[in-house]
Amino acid sequence: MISGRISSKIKITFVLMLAFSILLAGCTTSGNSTEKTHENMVTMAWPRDIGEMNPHVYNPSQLFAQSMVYEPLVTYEAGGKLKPHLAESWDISNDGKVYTFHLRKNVKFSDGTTFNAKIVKKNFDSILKHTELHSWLGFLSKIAQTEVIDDHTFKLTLTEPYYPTIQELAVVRPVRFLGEAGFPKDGDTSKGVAKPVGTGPWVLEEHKADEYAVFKRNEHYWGEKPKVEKIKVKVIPDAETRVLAFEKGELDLIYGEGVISLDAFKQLQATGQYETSLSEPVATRQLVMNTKKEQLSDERVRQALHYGFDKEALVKGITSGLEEKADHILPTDFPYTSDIDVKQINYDPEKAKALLDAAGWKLPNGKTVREKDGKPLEFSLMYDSAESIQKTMAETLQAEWAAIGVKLNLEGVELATQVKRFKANEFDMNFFSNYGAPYDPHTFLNIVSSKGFGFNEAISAYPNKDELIKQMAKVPQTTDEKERQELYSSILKSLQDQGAIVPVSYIKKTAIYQKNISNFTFPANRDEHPFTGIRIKQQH
Amino acid sequence: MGNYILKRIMSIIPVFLLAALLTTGMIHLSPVDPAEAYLAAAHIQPTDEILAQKRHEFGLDQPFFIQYVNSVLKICQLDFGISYVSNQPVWDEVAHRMPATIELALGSLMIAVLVSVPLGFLAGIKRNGAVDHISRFISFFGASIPTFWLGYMLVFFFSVQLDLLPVEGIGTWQHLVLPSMTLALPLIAMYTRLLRASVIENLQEPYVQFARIRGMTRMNIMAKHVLRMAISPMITGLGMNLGKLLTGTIIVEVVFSWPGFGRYFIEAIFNRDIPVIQCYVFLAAAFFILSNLIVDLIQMYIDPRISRKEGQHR
Repeated sequence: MISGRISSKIKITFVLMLAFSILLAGCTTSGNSTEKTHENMVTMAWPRDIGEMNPHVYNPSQLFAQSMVYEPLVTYEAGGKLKPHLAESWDISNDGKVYTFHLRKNVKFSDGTTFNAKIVKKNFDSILKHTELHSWLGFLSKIAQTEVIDDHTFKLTLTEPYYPTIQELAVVRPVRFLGEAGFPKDGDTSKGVAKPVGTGPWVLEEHKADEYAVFKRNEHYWGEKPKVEKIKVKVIPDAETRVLAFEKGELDLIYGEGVISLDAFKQLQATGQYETSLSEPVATRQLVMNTKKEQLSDERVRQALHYGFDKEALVKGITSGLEEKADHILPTDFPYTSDIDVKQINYDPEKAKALLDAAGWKLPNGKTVREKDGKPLEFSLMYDSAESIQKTMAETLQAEWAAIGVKLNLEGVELATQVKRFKANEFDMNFFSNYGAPYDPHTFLNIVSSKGFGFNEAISAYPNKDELIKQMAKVPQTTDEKERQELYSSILKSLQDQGAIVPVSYIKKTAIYQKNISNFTFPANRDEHPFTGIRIKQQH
Repeated sequence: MGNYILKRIMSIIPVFLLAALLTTGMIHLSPVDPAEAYLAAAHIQPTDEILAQKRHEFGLDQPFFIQYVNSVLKICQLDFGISYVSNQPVWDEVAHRMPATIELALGSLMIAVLVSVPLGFLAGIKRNGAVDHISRFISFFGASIPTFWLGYMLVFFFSVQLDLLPVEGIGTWQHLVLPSMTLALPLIAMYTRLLRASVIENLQEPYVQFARIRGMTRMNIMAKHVLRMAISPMITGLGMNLGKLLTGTIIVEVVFSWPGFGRYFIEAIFNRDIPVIQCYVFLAAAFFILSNLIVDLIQMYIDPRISRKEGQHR
């Protein structure tokens, strides 16, 4: 009897719960209005709002979006080749100071106005009003004069020869061109533009801040017209939500660096229902050793540490193949970096131990950490605590180096602190990655040679440091291609062979997309959009 | 009664001043230098000269007391400074995003009230009944589940598996369902238990027996007297949660890509956009203070004894 009462109660409970959930489901079935995807539109997710569509400003404007609307004089293509874009060709004077650009004819802005030398000058002059904002881009601070020669010829005069000028013209911001109608009344674009008018293959059609942006194909585009009509960019800040929306089919594409977690990427890839692709290396993940730290001042110790970990297994194991083992401190598909003859270092723990012994760091009986003059072979590695790859790599290094008698302490810090301490030279070891295309290799040399970025102080124990710094300062001023290549080769070799900068892995971009998307390719320029060639297969 | 209201309003002034003190003092406790953060956001290479100039501009070279007075005066005019990142007045940016957050908060409050009042009430008048069992289940469930996880699960079932609702975004009422359910569940858990306990307590009160003796119907007693008395602690709870609701939207806004000001705040933290962070902290405090005030006033309206008691003491 009692059990009967209880069971009936349970039954009622169960029925009520069921009814409740049906009610809930019933309430929502009418809401089945999954947006019908536009016939010829690609929808993708991005973590942040595209920001103000102004070609001359930085964050929070998003690079890929700026590159859709605005175009450069020169583009950066695969293998570091610099190709004509809005400039059909250019001449460089023998002293390397005068650049004459022959502009492409028949280029129109999206509002129908003509692209010409006058508007190029106007853009340059607006940018040059605020050189303090652009000091990082070398050639802008060296411009002496901008001149309109005729409708389609523009002349740039520098104060000193600076070979990376052409390469720096390929960056996404700030040297891209806004149409006349986009300029505010006072001509100062640093505070905003009137209208996003560019020459690019896309036009901003609709923008709801923090929600989405829709780009429409520019029907007047002078170059290869995009295959799809529209690109919709949904702002989805959370990585897991991006994956869920993608699985549901609300998104056609997710691409970028770190926009999708390693686990989710592998899981989606394993279903076989989607296409994935990886870009060429965009940057190198480096391990930087501070040679000012006593324990790391001996080149043999630094080499021993390099021999002492299995790089191949580390990179493969931690990034599941999304990154590639790196043998050079700069990826080899950048300009001047393809033929650097560095010392090959392969995993060899015995050699590592021998090198440490030779350097005087002996393992006392019954101890696990090597010592020299009573000091232990101990130092710390700083990593960005929010980045799981850095963290796991740091933990692996700790274990690997423990096996050769080296004690590594780990210091997880916030990104801002990491950057600050690196710059202030308050670290033993740190992770760093270079800027990538189209900024390198000259930007990397600039960072290494300038004081206050961390590297200059970190390589203090290099016997040829002064010579290296001098060479690095000389590179941008070279006018002879052969001399420039020789300098790059010797500088990069010397930097790497002395072991303070250890290449770990090449960072790549990842993309995952639905099966009906085809012709997705990554641009060689790290910051450029990948949408021009993309197609949607029409379903029957 | 008017006296009481005035007194209550006066009493929030020191709390506001304290909140302003915290937001001003925050900069000095944080290791981040506002001038440096500004230059980093604006993409300007910091030199000692520019840093000193910016510190002067931000008034950081003045004595703390002066800084404090200035910031109180500014807050009174809703001037929270200029965002380092967007160069727009912070208040405009926040005000622009506030409606979305309020919509979400109200949506979840509505769900919470609509579900927990009948559930808690029925569970209370019939202890150990079926409804009581359900309410207990929901309470345990709601109190122990972390919101972000619940959000993902709801999306996974209702959007990806059943294809009933959109995964993320804002626009139609369908977009509102999952995020407000996510936010509402912990509230439902809490209010249901609060109301249930309070109904049970009130059922023991002499006035219920008296009403019965007077021959009132059970329905009448319950609806007119017990519910009205029992709902009082729930309103207090509601008020305490109003502030929590507006600030607790942060995670839900991120998970559901809801363009509210909680998400804006998260981005501001990553960008070290200090004026935005200060504004948020101050507003959060203001929400709590105001919602408590509103609750007190509602309480007074429902149960006039409260203001009378206050009056007698003084």
